[in-house]
Amino acid sequence: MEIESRIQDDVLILTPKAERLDANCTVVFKERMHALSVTHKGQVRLDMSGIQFMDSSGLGALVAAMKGLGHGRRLELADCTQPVMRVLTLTRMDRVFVLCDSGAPSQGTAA
Amino acid sequence: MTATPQRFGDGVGPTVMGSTAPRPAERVGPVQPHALHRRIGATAQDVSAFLGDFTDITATWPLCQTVLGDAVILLGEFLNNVVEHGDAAPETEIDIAVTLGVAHLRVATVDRGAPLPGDCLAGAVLPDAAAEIDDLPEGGFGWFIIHQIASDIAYERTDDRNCLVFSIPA
Repeated sequence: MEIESRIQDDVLILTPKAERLDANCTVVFKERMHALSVTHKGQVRLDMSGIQFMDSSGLGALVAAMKGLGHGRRLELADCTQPVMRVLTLTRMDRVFVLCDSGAPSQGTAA
Repeated sequence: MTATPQRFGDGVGPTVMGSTAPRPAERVGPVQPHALHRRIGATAQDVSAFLGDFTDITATWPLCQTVLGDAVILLGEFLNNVVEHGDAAPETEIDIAVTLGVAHLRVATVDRGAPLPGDCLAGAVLPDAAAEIDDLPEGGFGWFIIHQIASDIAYERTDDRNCLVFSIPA
């Protein structure tokens, strides 16, 4: 899975170039997320607007990616599609990530 | 002696070679039921491809997007569970049948993987989302999602096969 990376106002914005975040790609996703975010000290935002399907494995991969950020940083999920929101709300993990619009300023929970 | 009465337009009448007579009007039969049958390999790639097919095919079924979206989520969770925990060899196959009933979408699957643990059918507990980030669960969501969406789940182990049937209210 290819993930585009850019920094805007000190926020690392990562955009997966895929429509599915599922059991078929979670290993690669976690590796790429770690490689792209490991040197960044500020907030990390995942542009979710292109993800049309996410299963519980994909959800687990998001949790793993957030844990990998360290320093109590919460992963920001921008522009989640309806199918992704459904899984997040069903599992109540919508309270764990920072959900936002892509244009919104970062929540900036980093110490 | 058996005689089969022939009706006009039933398609089994004698063929008139070279006839210029107008073709019988298109028959109006019973409405084609909305059903889908597939046999897939027990691999994550096959599951992913099937879910894509399912989404394309059911797009024309008379169902709201919420129900179809839930069906894809539910099928994905269950089929990936078979792939990951069923100890199924890669060449093992999973049979899937989806039919649209009056008030529900009915899903039946048959696979030759390991038996389902009884406790996952009884219900599922949501992992603790209030935990500190480092203690957050990375798994254990699948069966919770299945129980949240499915209105009923029936399971039978016959010989070496798992037969599972569940419904989604439509």
